[in-house]
Amino acid sequence: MVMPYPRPLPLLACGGSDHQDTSLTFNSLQYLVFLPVVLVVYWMLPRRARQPWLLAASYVFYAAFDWRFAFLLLFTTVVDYCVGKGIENRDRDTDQARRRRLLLISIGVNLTVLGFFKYFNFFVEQGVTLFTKAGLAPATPALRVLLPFGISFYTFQSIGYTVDVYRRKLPACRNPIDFATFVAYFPQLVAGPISRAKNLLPQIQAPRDRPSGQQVLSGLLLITVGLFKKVVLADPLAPVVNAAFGGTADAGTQLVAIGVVAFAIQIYADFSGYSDMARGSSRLLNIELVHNFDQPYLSRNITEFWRRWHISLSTWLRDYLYIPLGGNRGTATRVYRNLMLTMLLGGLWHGAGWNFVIWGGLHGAYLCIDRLRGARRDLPDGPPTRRDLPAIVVTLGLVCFAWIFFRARTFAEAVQVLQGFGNLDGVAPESGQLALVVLAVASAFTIDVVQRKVTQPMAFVWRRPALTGVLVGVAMLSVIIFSGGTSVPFIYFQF
Amino acid sequence: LFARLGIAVVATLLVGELGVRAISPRLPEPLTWYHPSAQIKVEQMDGLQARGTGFDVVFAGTSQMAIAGDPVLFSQLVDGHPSTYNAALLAGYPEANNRFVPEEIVPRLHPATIVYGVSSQDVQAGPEAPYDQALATEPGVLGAADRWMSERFALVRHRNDLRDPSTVAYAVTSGDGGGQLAFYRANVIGPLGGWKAEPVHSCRAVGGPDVAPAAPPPSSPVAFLADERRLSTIWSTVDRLRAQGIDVVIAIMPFADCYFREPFTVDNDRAGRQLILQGARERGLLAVDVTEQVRDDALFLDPGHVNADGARHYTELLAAAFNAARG
Repeated sequence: MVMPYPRPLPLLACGGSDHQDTSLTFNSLQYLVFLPVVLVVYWMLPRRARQPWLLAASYVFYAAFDWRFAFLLLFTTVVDYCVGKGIENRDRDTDQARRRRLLLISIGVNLTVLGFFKYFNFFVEQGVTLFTKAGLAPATPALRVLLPFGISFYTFQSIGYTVDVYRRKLPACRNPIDFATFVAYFPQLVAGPISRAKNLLPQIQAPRDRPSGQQVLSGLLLITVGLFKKVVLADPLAPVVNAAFGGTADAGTQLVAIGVVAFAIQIYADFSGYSDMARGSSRLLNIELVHNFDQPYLSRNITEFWRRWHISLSTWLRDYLYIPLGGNRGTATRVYRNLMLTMLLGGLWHGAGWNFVIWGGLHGAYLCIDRLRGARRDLPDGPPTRRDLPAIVVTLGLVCFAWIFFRARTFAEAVQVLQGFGNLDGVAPESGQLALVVLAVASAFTIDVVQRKVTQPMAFVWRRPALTGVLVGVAMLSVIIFSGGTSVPFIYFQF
Repeated sequence: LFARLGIAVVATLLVGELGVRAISPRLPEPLTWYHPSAQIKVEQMDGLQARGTGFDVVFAGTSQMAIAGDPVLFSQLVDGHPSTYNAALLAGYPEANNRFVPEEIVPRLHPATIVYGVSSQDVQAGPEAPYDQALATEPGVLGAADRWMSERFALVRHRNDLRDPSTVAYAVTSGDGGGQLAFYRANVIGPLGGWKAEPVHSCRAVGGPDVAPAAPPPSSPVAFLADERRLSTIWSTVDRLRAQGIDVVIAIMPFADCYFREPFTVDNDRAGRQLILQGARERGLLAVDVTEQVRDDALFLDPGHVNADGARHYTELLAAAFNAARG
């Protein structure tokens, strides 16, 4: 029997679209209260009480999005804690087969959870489409699975931990509170950076002193810069992007072009802003999170781009997927296969949809071409020179082209956007939209060039405190003016 | 370091605040409600309350009622000439009225009767007004904090306009604050909340006699599907009013003939109206459905809103039904 309006199961389905309770996001007033309370209590407590407090705060943070998924987080934590200990206990017996079995349990459980929550709807839809094309009329299952916030991030982090313990790169964590804090650590729980256990776990386990004045200052500066990127650069671009991607019937060449560029800036400012705020918040707890972005739009080729964009994911994919697949070893064909597979799975990690597969496939193809033509693989420290400009523009063009598939909700929408490029008589952007995108592009690139030039930001602050103060003041003024409008959730929350 | 940095930050913020204060008389009046119609009607009701004017009848509902209900004509036509005010809102969806009617209208105007305008579209899924997100109505501690900051800092108060450099430039150079509120006051909302007369034109005139009529709005439901949440919101508003001793009359709002084209059909509208009438019957409420008599395209300025002729005709029918029901 076909059910025209599937009634969702009560626990699993509150639907993707109505699941927008982002009450403790970094750009909310709630977080402005939450963070100081957590910090003040944390540093006032005796050392042994700090970790449980941090763990409790992390679960409150997560439960504020949707309390039901805190149980899923707990489940992942318990499984990987037990597996980690189990693998290490088998170490003495040199029982390789049992160790491997335990590792497979951890990977299997994590990927099953991730697969179910992230890809169930996708596979059901594909199945229904396939059967319908074959002339059958299958019943649509009455189950809509809701995607828990941050599941892709904490699942990968947990898998990384068990693999590292298996590879004997890291001792298993014996303290359940420490391990649970490592998985649920609130600054990076919902949208990364995906921390490596060997970096984050020792910091969580070690007794921490209060951060120095300089650390506090740099943490606050990071939060301010992140907030500026999110509220002032990313959010105002959302209407322009929406207009280009399906929001305007008969969108013309110019509107589509500025919409695509606007999305490139929006996603960068949004995601790198989130990462900055995550790192800043964590620094106030005296825990250093990894750098996630390194001026990616100044890259001269796609290989360099992937060493500067979402670094925690690209290095994770390199270490836990690309290298185990064979990496650069073997024949050229094998290396290209490894590159393509890694990027296709990287695309699929972002979401269940053919558009993400195409996005990953495009980047895989770009990387193969880079390898074929022997593209430079070094990372220049200084700002780009004039000679780098053509390569930067071409790389940015390729990245923007791939973003079309990433942003489009469906493959058909991506095709519609591509058709818009040839629609010279279509709807043009308003002058205000154009000015907004030009301003945002100029601001984003100025920030990147300055960051590339100023390699030691704190040294700059010490040298020019008044100028830093004015810049921070201007950033705060801009945040005040641009806040209070329609709040746009962080883009990477959906992954 | 910290002192110099802190002083520079505070000084910059201070310069910004003083700068905005200096130009604030020339900036548009800040919109603190979710829609200018709400802000203007609250101001009007504040003025009426200050004069101690209570009202016998108050119209509430969506833009359909805001345009169709003429308070002056209604007062003239109904026996006993009850004092009447139109507090219906543009984009006044049931969720917005669930707060606006009991929290804003009742304490200010103390009405004996509220005529609540509802259409078949209001009982189906549709857009929601961002009522709770506006500065004046944002609930909880955060809303209170936002209002506190807005009252004290010009930067916060004028931030919506400061986001648009062209607004700032126009305000500073012309000296005429302009803005939505000024426009609505001058051109849209009359002294008793009524609609300022529109030039008479109709869907028929818009579409022309020989071409297809104007398409229904994209939010139109394809087939009638009652939204239980919306229905319960409407009846919860009504029940709360009745609990305070206020008499509630349900007025069903009309659509033009040009609205009813596939897939949005007359049957769809009828199903919605029957649902509303049934709810009213269960509560023993007077429900006025004159929609079949107000359907001619010539009475509408668009498929869902009457024009000046339509408003007159609708108000006359509503008043007649009122008189008949009250004996």
